[in-house]
Amino acid sequence: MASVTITEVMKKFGDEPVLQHCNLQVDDGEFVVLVGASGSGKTTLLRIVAGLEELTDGQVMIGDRVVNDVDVKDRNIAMVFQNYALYPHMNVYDNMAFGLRRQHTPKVEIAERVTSAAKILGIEHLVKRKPKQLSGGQRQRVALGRAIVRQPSVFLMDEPLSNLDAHLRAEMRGEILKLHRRLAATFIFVTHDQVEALTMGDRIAVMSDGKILQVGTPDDLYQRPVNRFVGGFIGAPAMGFITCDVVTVGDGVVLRNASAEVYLPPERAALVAQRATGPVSVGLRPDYLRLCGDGGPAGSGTVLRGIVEVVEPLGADQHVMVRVGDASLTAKLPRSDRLQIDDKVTLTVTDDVGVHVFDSASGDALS
Amino acid sequence: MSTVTLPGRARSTGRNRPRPLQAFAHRWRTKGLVWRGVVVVVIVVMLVWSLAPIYWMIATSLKTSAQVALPNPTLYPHPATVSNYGGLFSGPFPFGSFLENSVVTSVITSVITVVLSALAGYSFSRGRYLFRGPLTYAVLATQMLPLAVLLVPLYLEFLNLHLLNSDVGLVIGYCSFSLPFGAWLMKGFIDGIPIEIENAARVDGSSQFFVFLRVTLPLAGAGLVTTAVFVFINTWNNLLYPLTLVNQLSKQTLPPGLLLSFTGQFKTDWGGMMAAAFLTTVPLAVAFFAIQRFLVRGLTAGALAGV
Amino acid sequence: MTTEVLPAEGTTHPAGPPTWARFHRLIRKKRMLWMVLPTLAILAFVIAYPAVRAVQLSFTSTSLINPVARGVGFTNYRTLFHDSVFYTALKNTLVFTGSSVLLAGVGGLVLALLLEDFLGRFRWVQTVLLTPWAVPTVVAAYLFRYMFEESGGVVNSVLLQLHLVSHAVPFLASPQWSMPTVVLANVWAQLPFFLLVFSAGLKTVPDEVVEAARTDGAGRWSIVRHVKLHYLRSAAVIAVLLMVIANFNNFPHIESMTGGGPGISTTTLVIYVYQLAFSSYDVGYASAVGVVWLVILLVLAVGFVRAVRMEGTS
Repeated sequence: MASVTITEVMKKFGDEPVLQHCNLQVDDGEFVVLVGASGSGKTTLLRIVAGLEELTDGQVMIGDRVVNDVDVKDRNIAMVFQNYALYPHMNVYDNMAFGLRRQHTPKVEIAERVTSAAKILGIEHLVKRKPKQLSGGQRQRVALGRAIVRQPSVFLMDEPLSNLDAHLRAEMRGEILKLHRRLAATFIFVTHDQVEALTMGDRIAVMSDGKILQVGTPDDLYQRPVNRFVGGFIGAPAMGFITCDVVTVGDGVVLRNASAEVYLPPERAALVAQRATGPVSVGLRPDYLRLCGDGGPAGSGTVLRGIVEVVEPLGADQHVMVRVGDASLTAKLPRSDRLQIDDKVTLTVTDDVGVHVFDSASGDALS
Repeated sequence: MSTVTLPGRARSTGRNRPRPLQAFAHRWRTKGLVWRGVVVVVIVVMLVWSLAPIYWMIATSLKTSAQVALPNPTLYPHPATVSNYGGLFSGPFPFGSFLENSVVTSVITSVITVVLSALAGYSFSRGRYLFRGPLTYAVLATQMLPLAVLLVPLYLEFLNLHLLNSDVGLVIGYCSFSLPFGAWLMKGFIDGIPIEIENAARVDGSSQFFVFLRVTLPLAGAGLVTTAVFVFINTWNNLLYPLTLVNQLSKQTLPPGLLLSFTGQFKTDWGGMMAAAFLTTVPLAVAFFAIQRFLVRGLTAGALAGV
Repeated sequence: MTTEVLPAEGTTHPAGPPTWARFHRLIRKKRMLWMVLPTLAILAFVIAYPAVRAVQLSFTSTSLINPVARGVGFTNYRTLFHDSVFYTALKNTLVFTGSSVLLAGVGGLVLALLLEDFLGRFRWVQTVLLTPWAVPTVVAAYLFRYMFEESGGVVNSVLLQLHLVSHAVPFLASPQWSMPTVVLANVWAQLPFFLLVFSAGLKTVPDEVVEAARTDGAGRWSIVRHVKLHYLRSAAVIAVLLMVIANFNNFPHIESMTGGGPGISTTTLVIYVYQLAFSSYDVGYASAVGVVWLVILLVLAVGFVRAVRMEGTS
């Protein structure tokens, strides 16, 4: 087992920077998720850790060894690939045994390890089959098994669940977490799916345009996004944004535009007023929006006036998209609020933790 | 940076693939010094092995007959002369006619083969009729027949039909090896085109033949080129058919022309022989290099998929 | 073309009750059939008919000078059974084909693996190595014939000047050297084909699988041996089959280089059949040799394909 330390890693393809100043510390036994959209550089970073890609600048350490110039085969890592990358001409057993044979592990031990890995993954009955005789989920398990038997210091997973259907994906999520607990090994897991990231990671690194924007626990990222991108990326349904001016009213501060007035608690409001250099972008979590009753806005006094555009019923809840001025907000409302398209509604905020203020130019968090 | 991750693609393309040169540089650095040395030496040796004979052909063709006659030949022509090339067209052997006959028969055979084998390949790939499978294999299996065996009856057949000593007869003869090969290659290519694309066109209300013409064929472009070139190469190289089916010197093609002139005109004149050889090589080499990149792709898509 | 051949499809008997839908389907199916008919017509003319005629001729004493067929039963086959030239030709064919395909195949494979790293700017290396393929067979044959001449040939000249040999080697004039020299020239001409096929085959190896093997701790040789070679199987099967057939039938190369000589040291079956028919004019006997040869080739091909299949399933 080992930690992974990524220091100031840079990567260019030609003149095009793909990774810029990436820093990440993954502790021994930790489960870290790299999450970001396609092209954010998360897979490149993982491949650099694996040694499949060379870095342009910076340093990667596994344990206390600098591995920049260590060949892939000597890094003692295991990787699970998006398309599984099983050896098509070998049966399941041979696929899993391949790496051990390369290390000249004694036959008896190979058999022992493969059998036990197969048992853990519930694929003992499949060991004689070739990959093409397996379903997607089974192939995924073999790919995992191939990684497990090697007992590597670090597991690297490159979107391993993205080719599975929704049901299997949820199941395998649980399996991988169980595996992590059982092996107590270091895991680095790449995904573009923020739900996967939130449910699986001890910590999550959010990447965009080759930069690591924020590293933190799922709660950190949800409650304290450092910038607008992280705020919008983490959480489902996604945070909505409206642009407001910062207006001082008496000794208080209100964020306001033609259809909205947002009030913050005094300390936060003061901070915003102090830091804002122009209009601000106000992010509103759908979970904290609700309809104003006839009695007008509750507590905070925040009001958002808009028109219902889309209603998505989800059993007890519904996601309602509301056009507020030229922005669109999603609100997660109880199904008992009977709404129809084109209804005029007024929303308010139940708790100011659901309100985040960002500089509209730089995107940095202001409060 | 191309970063789209397409699901279901066998190769992991999109994801930040390094440019070839960088991948090369990367692998190069991580490999041992000894290995690098071995690779470079092997490749240099192979380059010499591949090019030296060709150089020798060109060099000899530019030498005077005195230089060629030396027991220890010089490495390069000094002085260089093109008189060997002039001799080809003024000598007793009509190299102009040989060249013309070669070009005409090879090109016509290529064109006919491409048209017919595109049709046949499509039929073999997409057709639904009785005995399609056995018929396909029967046509493919004819490639295994020793053509020399068929040549005697073919000669007798052509004798009766007065097809000897004619371009038409030669083209028909060439078809006996070009058509099975072409049909096989085209079947492989068309197998590789997703039928969904054709179905979409069919649903839009096109006839099967229209779909073939306007949807399938354009997609099989690389296949058509590959087929044409392979056939061109094979017919240009062929010696057996013209040698037996043609016995008038002026109707011969280049390969038998070389063979016959060697026993006559060039008995000892290697300079003239190499000039004739170079002349025979040029059209093939041009065709080959023009579509060299196609060939690799074509072979991957067609021949290898046809298994 | 369609209308005149459609009635010939008497083979499409509907097996079940002749419902309208089934009939309609059959009509549709026939419409696809016409596309292959021109090809079939030509092949019937240039292959099927001559093949049948060849078998028929093999039971006659037909001669090109006096083409009056006279049935002689199995006489030709009985002669063939005791014909030592036939056996030598058969042996020469196997040696020529086997060694050419083996050397060119292994060479092409090794080269393709070495060249795999040469991408981008170094692609020209591959192109240059493919050049011999652009040289017509007859030209390559004469070129090597010239280079391997006993006097005035560049190979002997170089060998003598380097004192590797004490006197000129009669490469093409001695029965002992002629076959190896012919094979060498043939390998030069055919190695590019294997290089091309294997290079194309290597492109079908998914990067991810190679990367998986690398993370599994496999070295360069291990990846070749355990991963890449398996992806080259079908390419190799096809290439070997094609080249075995091509070399079995290789006429221009040997005819131009040695004409089958000296003696019968490089006489293969094609050369023998050709000489029998067009030099001795003994069409009947030539056909008998051809028929036997055809049977041998068929057995070889079927055996090869079956061996490959068996290995693939086990």
